Amino acid sequence: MTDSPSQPPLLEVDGLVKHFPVRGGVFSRVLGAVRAVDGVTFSIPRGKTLSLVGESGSGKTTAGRSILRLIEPSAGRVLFNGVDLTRLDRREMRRYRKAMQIIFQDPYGSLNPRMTVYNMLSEILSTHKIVPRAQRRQRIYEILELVGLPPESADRYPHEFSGGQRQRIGIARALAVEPELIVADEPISALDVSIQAQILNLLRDVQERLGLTYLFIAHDLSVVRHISDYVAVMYLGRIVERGRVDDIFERPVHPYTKALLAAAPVPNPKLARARQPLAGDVPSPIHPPPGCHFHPRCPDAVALCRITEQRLVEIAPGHWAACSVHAPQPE
Amino acid sequence: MNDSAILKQGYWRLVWRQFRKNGLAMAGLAVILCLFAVALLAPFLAHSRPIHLVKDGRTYWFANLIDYPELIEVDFVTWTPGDGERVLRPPVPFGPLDDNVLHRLEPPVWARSAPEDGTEVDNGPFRHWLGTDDRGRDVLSRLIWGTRISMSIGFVAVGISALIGVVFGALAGYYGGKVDMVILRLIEIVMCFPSFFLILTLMAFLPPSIWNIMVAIGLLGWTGIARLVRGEFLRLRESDFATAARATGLHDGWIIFRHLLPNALAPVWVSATFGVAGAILTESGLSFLGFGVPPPAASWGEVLKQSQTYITYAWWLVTFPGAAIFITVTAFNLVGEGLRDAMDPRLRQ
Repeated sequence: MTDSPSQPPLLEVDGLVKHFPVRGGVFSRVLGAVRAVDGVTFSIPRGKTLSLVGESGSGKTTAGRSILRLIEPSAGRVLFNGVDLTRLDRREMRRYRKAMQIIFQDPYGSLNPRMTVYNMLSEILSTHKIVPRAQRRQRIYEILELVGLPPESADRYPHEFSGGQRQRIGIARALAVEPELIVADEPISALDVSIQAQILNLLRDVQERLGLTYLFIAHDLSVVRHISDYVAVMYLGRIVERGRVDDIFERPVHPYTKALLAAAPVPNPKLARARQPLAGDVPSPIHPPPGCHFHPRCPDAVALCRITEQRLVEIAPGHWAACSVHAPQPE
Repeated sequence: MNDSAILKQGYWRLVWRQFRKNGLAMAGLAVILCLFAVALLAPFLAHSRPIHLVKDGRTYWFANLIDYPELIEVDFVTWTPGDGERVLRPPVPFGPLDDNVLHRLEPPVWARSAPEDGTEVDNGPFRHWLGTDDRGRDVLSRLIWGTRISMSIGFVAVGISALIGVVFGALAGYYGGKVDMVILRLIEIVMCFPSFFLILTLMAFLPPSIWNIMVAIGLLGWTGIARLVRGEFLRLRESDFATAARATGLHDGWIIFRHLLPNALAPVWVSATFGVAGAILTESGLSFLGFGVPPPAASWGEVLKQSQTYITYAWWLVTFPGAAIFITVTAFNLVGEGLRDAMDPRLRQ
């Protein structure tokens, strides 16, 4: 799905798996596993944005954190600039952390309540030796200006800011190390609607200025359309459909993608599509349904769906879907 | 109180606001501050040598703190200033170790019966306000100097336990897994022993000294704090700001001490306050049983111990040190409870 095949993608995720063991009994035996991420593959070209979309519990947050090795992945490869991050030891990984950052959903829990903005940013600059000590304060003011905060905010504590301002601080922290990749884990879903657009614009603005690559995690498709170049839809730890943003929004193939699109609020009521609400909840990731994970809720399911595992099939250049009904599996 | 009012203030100012509303806790705090003052100013409150002295044409300042060689031979109880000589004595002009067989087991001033020959004896400043013990040592002076011992044992012992508890608790909570398992077992082993009897046994083997008592109490009292800190760290290490700190590539030690620990200390303060009361009580108990601060050093428990022989007669030897222990322990407990209530977010309105 790379636009220019000459340039390798910045991030390539290949068969990423994260299973959380479920322990129980007297001797804490492993009884099973939560298959939070179950073989996820995608890549993001440099300077582009890929959105990872899915319901709660689809494993998108776990995938994002496994890529940064904030959670140790169980299997699979994460190639960053061609280097497999999963093979690095802790010290080497610490060096790579400079190149990849994360923005959190909750602007309240993600800032240390006992540290001023200045201290927060300064420890990052000194840990990675970004600028000489003498220029540190100057650099911190530059970062704050970049995210639209006045220099006075440097000496304040997080509780003195509003939710939107706190999210700007979170972005400032991510930008302080001058990263190449940012994993934005639902960065606007906890904010007021009026603030959401501001933060989205800020994210796009710094992306253009600094040439950043985003892995944007979201459950709201309407947001995704404006910020993404590529979209990957996750269900129960697996990607069910991925492609360019227009492929997903204009020509969705997988019934789950269609259902998500139908569920997204449409601003103009006259354009409202026929709704086909999804019945039921996401099944347990400990005992996922056999065959296609989505078949119990799928309006188009046929008998075969209960038996056959679905693999991603390229139905158009760069557009992949895992549905044997709408994207027949090759023999 | 609305949200923005909370946000405007620092955490400790908020705690102080809540704490101030608690009258009993404030009283306890006042008592503790007084005890601190008494402990610090002990040589100015009770000492045989004067604070200021003009003798034989020479001026001595702070003779109670400085050992002037010229004054070593002088007995200031019998010495009175002559012409051109001046003296400023501490309110209790007796050191804690100054014995005087002529004044053995004197009752407190107000309970003293008049001498049988009918003459009024006025000792001037040399009154034993709270009476004397079986060697004629001034009880008030011993209590004043005992404050030093009790307070320092309380704070040093709790300092040792807090240090051990915070480090072990932080490591167990942050790393989890095997580290957590080992530290938890260690905590359980230490908790198994009835600590007072273990300290008693230790003191029987160790040479008697105030430092050994502090260390023994400190080494056995850290388990509660360790478990509190471990719990806080289990909660905090999953927080987004801890993840963010890891994501920015900070070192574990930095994350533990700079990011998580400041957010985990609230329950430690409460526990440490109760711990001081417990340590003072333990020391008194040890001294009472004769395993505490080695005599003749003045400690509240030591004074109590002497009262055993004369308990039917010398009530002042039981009452005053007992009251000192009781008031101190109560004050620390009241402050501890006040702190706990003030820091409890559920009680905040």
